[in-house]
Amino acid sequence: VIKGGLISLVLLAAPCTAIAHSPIKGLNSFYNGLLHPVFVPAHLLLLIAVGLFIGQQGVKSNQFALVSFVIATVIGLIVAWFSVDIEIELFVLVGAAIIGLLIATNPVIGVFWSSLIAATAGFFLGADSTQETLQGKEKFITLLGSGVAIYFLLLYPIALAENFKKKQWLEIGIRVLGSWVAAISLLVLALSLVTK
Amino acid sequence: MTFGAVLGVMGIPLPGIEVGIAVSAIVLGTVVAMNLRPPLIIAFSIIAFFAIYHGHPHGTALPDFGVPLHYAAGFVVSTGLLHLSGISIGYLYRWKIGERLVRSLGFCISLTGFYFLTAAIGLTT
Repeated sequence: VIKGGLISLVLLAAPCTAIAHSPIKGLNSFYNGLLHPVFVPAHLLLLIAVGLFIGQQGVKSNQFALVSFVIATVIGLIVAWFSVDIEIELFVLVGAAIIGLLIATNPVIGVFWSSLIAATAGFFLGADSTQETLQGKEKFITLLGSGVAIYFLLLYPIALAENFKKKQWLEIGIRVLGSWVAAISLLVLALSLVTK
Repeated sequence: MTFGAVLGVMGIPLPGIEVGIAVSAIVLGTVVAMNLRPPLIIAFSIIAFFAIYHGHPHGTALPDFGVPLHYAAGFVVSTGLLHLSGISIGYLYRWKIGERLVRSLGFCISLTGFYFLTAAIGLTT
């Protein structure tokens, strides 16, 4: 575990790009899956966005959004399990941009819409969690690791946004974070449109 | 800034970028130095207008980087943190000496803007 942790720390510090959707050598399948959402910046952006969004809307009144996110993530992971290399990172970024803008503008959204938004994000995250070259049991364990990581990583921004609701200036801080997520996503989306 | 950066990414040119950035320093520095309090909509419009000029060069540079998302994240976060630094300095306004300091900084920013402007229009190098 310590060795795995150390390798993870070194890899996190390195400016690697090619490993985004490739398994990391030296780590077992579960750890590979666990680190996948951390190594794919688009996933991290969407996770932060969804977490802040659910926290900002209020976890108690939006418990269904959290449940729908988890269910949709599992469905997405099953899709990833059966499919080979579906490239939907662009959708992940579109989702991050839209949710980022929603956080920044902070409109009143009903439970239905917040659940639908959370579910869509969860599905994209799950479906885009496929790692190249993995097959069979290895692929299953990797996807399981990704699912666990997606769920636990979501809890941090939720807790942050929920706690920051106590004071108005902290709430503004959450909206600023949302605008950052939207800005980053929009820039990369603009570049994707130009290069295509 | 994001809008300006998107214009830059898409290769849509913006005339007089360096002049725009220099003028932004002059105008905003003067507003701080003179302790002007324009209505919110005017302040918003001025800042948004100049932000387009500040964002455009970042967007132009974006395609040159290996991982655009990393660059975009760095650009957005560092810009945000710089704004936060400015807001923190602005809090000095609570004290009389702090107010003088902030207004002096505004004056210095304005002067720097004038220097940038002379460089942008080719009067100095």
